[in-house]
Amino acid sequence: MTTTGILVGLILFTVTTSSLQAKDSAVLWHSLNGKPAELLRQFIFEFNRKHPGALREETGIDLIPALLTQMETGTLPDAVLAPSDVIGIVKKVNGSRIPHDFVHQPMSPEVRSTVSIGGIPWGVPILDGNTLLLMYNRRRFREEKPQGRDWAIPARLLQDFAARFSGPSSRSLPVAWKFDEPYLFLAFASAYGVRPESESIDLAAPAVTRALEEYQQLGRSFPVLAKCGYDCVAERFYRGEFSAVINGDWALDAAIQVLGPDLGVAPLPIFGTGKMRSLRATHALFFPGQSLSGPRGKVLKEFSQFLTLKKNQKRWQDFAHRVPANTTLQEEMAHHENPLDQALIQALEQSTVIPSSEQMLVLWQALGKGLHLLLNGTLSVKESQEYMVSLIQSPSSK
Amino acid sequence: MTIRRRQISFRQTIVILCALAAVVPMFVLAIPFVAKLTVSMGESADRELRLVADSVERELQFQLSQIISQSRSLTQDGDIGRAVRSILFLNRADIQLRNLLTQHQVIAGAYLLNIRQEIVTAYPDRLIQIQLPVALMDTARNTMKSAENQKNHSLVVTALTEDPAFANQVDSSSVPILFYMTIPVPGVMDSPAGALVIVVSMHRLNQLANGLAHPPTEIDLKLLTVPFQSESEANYFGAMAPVKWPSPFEDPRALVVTVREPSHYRLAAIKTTALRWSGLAVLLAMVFGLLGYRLSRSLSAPLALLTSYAEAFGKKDYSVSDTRSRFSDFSAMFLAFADMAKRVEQQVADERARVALELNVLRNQMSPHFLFNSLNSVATMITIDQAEATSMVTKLSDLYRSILNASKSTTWSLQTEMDLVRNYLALESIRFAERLQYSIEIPTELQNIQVPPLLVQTLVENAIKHGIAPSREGGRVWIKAKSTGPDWCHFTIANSGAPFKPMSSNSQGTGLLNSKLRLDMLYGGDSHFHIGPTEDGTSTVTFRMARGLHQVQEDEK
Repeated sequence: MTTTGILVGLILFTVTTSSLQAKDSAVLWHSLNGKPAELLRQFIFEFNRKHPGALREETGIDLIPALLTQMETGTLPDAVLAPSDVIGIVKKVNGSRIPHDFVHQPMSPEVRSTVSIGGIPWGVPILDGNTLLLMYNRRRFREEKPQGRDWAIPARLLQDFAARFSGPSSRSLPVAWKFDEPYLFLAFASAYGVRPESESIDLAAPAVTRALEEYQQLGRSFPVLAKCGYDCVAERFYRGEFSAVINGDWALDAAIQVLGPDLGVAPLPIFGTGKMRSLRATHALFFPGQSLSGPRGKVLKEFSQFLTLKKNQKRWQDFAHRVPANTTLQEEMAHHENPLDQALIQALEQSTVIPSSEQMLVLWQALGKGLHLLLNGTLSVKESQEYMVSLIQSPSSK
Repeated sequence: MTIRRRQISFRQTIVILCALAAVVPMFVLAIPFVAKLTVSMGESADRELRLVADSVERELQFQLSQIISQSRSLTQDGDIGRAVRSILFLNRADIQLRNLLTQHQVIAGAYLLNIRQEIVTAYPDRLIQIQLPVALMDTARNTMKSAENQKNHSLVVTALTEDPAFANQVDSSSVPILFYMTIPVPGVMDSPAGALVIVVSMHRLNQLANGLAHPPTEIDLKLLTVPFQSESEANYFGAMAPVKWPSPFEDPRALVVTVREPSHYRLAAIKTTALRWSGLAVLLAMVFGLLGYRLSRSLSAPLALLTSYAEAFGKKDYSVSDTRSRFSDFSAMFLAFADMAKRVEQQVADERARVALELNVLRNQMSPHFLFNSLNSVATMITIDQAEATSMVTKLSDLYRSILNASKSTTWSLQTEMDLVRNYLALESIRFAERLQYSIEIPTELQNIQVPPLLVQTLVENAIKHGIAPSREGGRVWIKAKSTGPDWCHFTIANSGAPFKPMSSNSQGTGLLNSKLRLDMLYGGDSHFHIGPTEDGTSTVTFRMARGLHQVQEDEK
């Protein structure tokens, strides 16, 4: 056998085994960033040590459009780790139901509800939260000593915010957030009584109208806030341009890395007479294309169980400053001396679970579009509300 | 009738000539050049504008072809297809529409319609609230129907709208014309799921076209009124029809590109240049005129000076004070003039002296002693010999007539002189009787030579006065002349009697002095005038005269 022949054989063998491995590997899509993504990668690595080549990740994907597109071509991933409201399309992507004994993890009813549609679980919660927090620079505010579990509420802070938000005559901008983000708007709108119902939120409700009006007025009163994007809650906050920002717990770790002990965390402030309430969701694994029934179902199950091990769940908390879905751990966090942990748990308690429904997916699109048209002056409050409602009610939303 | 010529000074002439020399060549060269340049620029402008028109036409064709092509591709895009069916793809559809409009500025807006012609999304955002005209919706519906019937999802239907309200809302321009394309969005089973409506603004097309030209060139796009026949995609922008017509598929139109440029644009440069040159010519004329003035002053100053000298000459002022000049020619002229003035002055002085001398001679000749003595002799003779007395009076008359004639010319013939001398001697002989003897020896060939009047007579008179009259015995007077060559003749007037006495300030010296002066006037020192005694005791006066001396009449002086 010539040397060339040996080389060709080796190349063919490598390619073949690679492709076989690739073909056998389960594909996991996710949308995590920063420390959580790093931890997930570590988990995959550790899992693959026991199950070589069992799993690989793909990230940076616009999940919903990608899933729907891939559904048409028949090349769906085996698993998706995504916010629980994505599960709303589980039927469109032919997702696998989660068997009863799939994982053994204590979960609160709220956590369980995030992955259930019609009482049937379609996903495995891994992380809890996705809540909004008030992050502030402690050097700018005087804090009171924590009292019991109400540690994270600097009374002076709330009073300052309340006073500053009492009317459009206020000149200073006390807190900033990504203004055109529907998730933030709904938190704001909650101060005016906008709440999710069983499967969706009624955008036609008068409360929504009021909230839109107040939101529009808020943007006009604070043009800086109205133009706020992601940079407001990140670089500009870290630079000290804003003393406080409202952002999700997904950004907590990055803020800790930059501000360190200067970072303060508190629940959401009060607007007018109403207090902002964040929405809440879990980050869950679900399995499109009936993958649990497929050749890699076993791997997927084992990986799900691996992620839901208590020790691994705790690593989300310790490493990535995220709230694990494990209820036992959550209770422990509530009693931690660590003020950040306590703030996270308190935020969870004060937030509202997002319904996991297909209607919510449509609502996010409609709300995003309508809010954008309202804030850029294209539509009035009434028009934008009507537009959002029309989108939700159009045949293309079905 | 005399024609009076207007005179112009030398200075004015020089100034005008210099100014003309600066200006005329410039105009003579510039005018034809400018004319030629204007024609050339006009031709060049025509060529360039044609090129611009061709370029604009090609660019517009390219742009519109690109729009058709990309719009078709967009309708084939999966996200667009899903967006008309599910709002979950709304964001992606927005991005696609935004990209399309970003690439093509002539697109005023894009709508994505669903199967029921409801607006799914639009870009820019504000189009969401701008409802499409009914006719446009009808076009979209018909497009989808046609696509389904023909199984052709590449269909591009265009139409024109002249709905000012819609155009103003979409395009914010005063141009009411828009044309739009509707392209079906394919769905499942070859049925369209919706339609993409692309609205193209004539106003923006105009802006695009004008952006291809540099000001002040303007480009105007107009729709032809004559229907356009070709249906090829390359001629797409001709495939238009007014919405108001019954069917949107009829009578495609074409755009005409007109390129205009203000005629003064290119000529302005020429005019500016011509004005500048004219200004330069005026400036040069002034400068050269000034230089000419300076030059003329430099030239005319010597002439003026010369004129003043000539005028002074006329007033008998022969002084030339300044012979210097910047120009060597004029300096030479002044020097020659000064030399001439000096000679003229000398001549005038000599003439004056000669005239004075002549007058003096005449004055001397008019001495009353001779006349007194002669008249005494006549008076005596009348009682003695009347005939003789008459003869004496006649001679005396002849003598004084001759003397009077002598004042009319500077010379006369020797014969005339000797006739006078004979008359004189004859009269003196009566007075002195035997005491006076005389002889005259004058060769015949010398009779006609010209001699100053009364020259010999004066010397003879002097000889009698100082030689004969003082002597009791009297004496003799010799008068001789002989030719000493072709040019000269020698004269001797000698007398015996009283011994010679040197010249002094008395009358003897005056007559001799006058004679000497007269000869010097004629010959300088060449007369060799000599007076002195001889060995035999006679007093002799010798001199020479030129045989060719010309007679000069008194009235020619």
